[in-house]
Amino acid sequence: MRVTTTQMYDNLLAGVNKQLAVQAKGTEQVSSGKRFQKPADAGLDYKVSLDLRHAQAGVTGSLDAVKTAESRLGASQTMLNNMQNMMVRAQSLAVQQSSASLSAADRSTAAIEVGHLLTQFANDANQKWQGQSLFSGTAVDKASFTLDGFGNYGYTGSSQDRVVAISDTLQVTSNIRGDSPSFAGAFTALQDFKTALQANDQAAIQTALGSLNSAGNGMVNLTSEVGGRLSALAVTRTSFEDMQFTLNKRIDEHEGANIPAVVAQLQQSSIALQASYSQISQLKSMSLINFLR
Amino acid sequence: MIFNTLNVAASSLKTQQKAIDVVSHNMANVNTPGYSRQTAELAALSPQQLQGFSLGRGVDLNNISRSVDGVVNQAMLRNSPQQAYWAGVKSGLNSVEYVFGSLQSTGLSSAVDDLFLAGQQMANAPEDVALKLNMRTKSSALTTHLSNMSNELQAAQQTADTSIDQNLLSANKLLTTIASLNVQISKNESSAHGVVGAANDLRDQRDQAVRDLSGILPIQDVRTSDGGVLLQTMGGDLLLQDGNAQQLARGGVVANSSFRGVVFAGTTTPVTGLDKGGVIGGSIALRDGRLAGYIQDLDSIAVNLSFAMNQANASGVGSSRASQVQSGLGATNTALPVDDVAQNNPFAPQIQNGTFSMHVYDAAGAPLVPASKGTITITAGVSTMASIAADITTLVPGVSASVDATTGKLVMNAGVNTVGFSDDSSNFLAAYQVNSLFQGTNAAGLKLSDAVQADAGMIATGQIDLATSAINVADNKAALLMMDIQNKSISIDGTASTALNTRTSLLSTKYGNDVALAAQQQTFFQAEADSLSQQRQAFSGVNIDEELVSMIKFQRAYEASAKVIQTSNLMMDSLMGLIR
Repeated sequence: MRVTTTQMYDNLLAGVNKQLAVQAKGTEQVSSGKRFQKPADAGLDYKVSLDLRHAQAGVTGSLDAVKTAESRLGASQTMLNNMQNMMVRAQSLAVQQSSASLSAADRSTAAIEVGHLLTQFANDANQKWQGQSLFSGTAVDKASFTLDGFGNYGYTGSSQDRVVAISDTLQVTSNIRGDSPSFAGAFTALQDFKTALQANDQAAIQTALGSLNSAGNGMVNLTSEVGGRLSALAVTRTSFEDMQFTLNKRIDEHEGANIPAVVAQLQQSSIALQASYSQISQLKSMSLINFLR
Repeated sequence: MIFNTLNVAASSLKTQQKAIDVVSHNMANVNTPGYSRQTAELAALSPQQLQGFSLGRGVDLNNISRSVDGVVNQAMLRNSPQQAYWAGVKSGLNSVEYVFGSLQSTGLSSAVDDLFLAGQQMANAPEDVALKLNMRTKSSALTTHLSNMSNELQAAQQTADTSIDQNLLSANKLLTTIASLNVQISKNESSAHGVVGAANDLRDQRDQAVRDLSGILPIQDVRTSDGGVLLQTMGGDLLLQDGNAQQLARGGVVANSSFRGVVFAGTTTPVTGLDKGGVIGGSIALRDGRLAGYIQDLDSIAVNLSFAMNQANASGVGSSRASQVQSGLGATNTALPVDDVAQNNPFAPQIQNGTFSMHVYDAAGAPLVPASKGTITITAGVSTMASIAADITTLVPGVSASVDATTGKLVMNAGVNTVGFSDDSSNFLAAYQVNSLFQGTNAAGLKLSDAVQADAGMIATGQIDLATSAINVADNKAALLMMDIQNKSISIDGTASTALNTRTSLLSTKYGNDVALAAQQQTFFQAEADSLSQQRQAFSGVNIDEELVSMIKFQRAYEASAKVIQTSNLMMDSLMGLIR
């Protein structure tokens, strides 16, 4: 085969271009730490990356949602604990006031304390968290309980629970609604106890003690229910945190460049490039022209 | 006899001089594209008979031959259109690479994820105004992204279309040049002139022009017996014969495209076979194939996203309500049913028999008394925009409705009161973008609805109680429906039912695969082109060393002939000395 100088220059130039492309790609990989950057670099790999990042965004949203539900339920639990403590105090008072040795004046004084307990219980039941009523369902702009004309507390919230979407397949209820029978039972028991004390009615006090015990148990049950939900949420959170860790690891493995391999390739390419440059500079002296004098 | 020797030497001097001219011509054209090495072919002159001897008369330049490999030339003609086609496609695809984002900014895909993340946050605290503002921002970012992508791709289509015009100019120029060279070659090589190989350089120029033309559009090259060239398109249309060249031009808009086709100038006859290769074929494939496909995919994402989100929003309610409500889309013909295809509304086929309810609230935000609700019945194939407007006026307390005469849009006015919508089982509200989140019918035109743009509180999070018209501020039923759309397979435009995030990632994959295919094909045909170029160089290229050696040979022969003349002269001197 005949060989012309044009062929040799063309071959060397093609080699130089090829090595420059290797250098450009290698430098990009080293500087970014990624083995590809754009869909044009690797179509299917890029899709896998998008899918992983989509899953990652979903997990981030789920963890946010779990935190929202935990905060809301945590605030509810604090209030329920307070209300439970008030029921315990009321029960304790009822045991004391059921004694036949107490006078009407003693019971009148106790009635004042029970009145305070009732007011405090109502305050806790109307508690707001981040400006929203905790126990009024989705009617968070309204007070959960209001006093009617007869001095009784009635539920004024909605009958709809506050649902937190943790993912498109997992939704949890993030509230305790005030229309639960436990609230009504507690209000009624406290109100009846107060009335019995004011009337100095020992039999009614005995009856109220039973109601208070029952209502106290109801509040304990509600608190336990919230605790159970919080425990379940903690498990869910751990599960999503594990998923987040796994996804981050998978993304790193999928997208990360093999830096030692890339550096070795860059070194090889650099040597080839230098050899090509050297050969181009030598080619001009490899002609008969240089020997004709 | 001595004179005979002088004549022989003189013929050599002249011939060697001409041979050195050929060598010189070769060296001068060592870098000329398409140049083919020429060789001086020397031949002994016919001998003369003298006294029974056959005496030579010297040498002459018999021919200047051109080194051309016809097989390689034909292979180059087949390779060139393919190489140019894929190079054009690859270059065009690379020019829109930024549109599809990168891992640092995954573009449309992350915009969709951001929207649904904002939707989830809003669903989990629907009473929080800041989260609604965030939802509006992310929705706007997504529509802007879709719109920008679509506009950039349309601009790339325009660029591809403009490049067709430029390449047609080049093709016409080359056709004219080839026709002109045909005439010159024929003239130079005609027997009247009697010079063999007289058109070597013109033939090189013509071959190069034909190769250049084949890079622009695929052609068939037919050599005629008289040395002429006849060119046809791959579809068999005659492009050029002898000195007659057709010219190409842009024609009318082609069916299923918004761009003009390529025709023979002065006619409406389309040029066939352009899709077989060449840079024009590459531009057409890029414009009407790849780019149009991406735009179609974006439009599909836009209409599916828009309709699904609007469906959830239209039957929901936010923290704000409006007194005046106008549909985002109008009826082209208010007398035709709203689901008629003639309405030119891509969502119209989704309208079905069903109802929707409107609820009216007083200035204080309480449901209007004694009645706060009206239910409108939609019958597919029957209900018109005008009949719906009339029904609203009749059935919804305190609301008057009309159809805008210019735009065909439904306009509802509740005066000092406000209105909300619920329970649309007919899809009318979403199809005509009433109480909607988005407005628009394609990616380029998709935007936030005017109402949401003006007030983020118009983004629906809850749903109105159908019986009591009550609204709970932390109700998130509508927001949950929106959130469900993220991973749900949907299709309202005849495309395969697919989730939105899958649609966006498939679009990137489709682009990536197109680039990979174009790069792979271009690399293949470039390697083939390089190989053919090497083969052509090996056969037709000028080797300086060879030429220098030839030059030395001819120079030495020239010197030898001069020596013969000198010797003959001495012989003549000796002979003349005998006479003196």
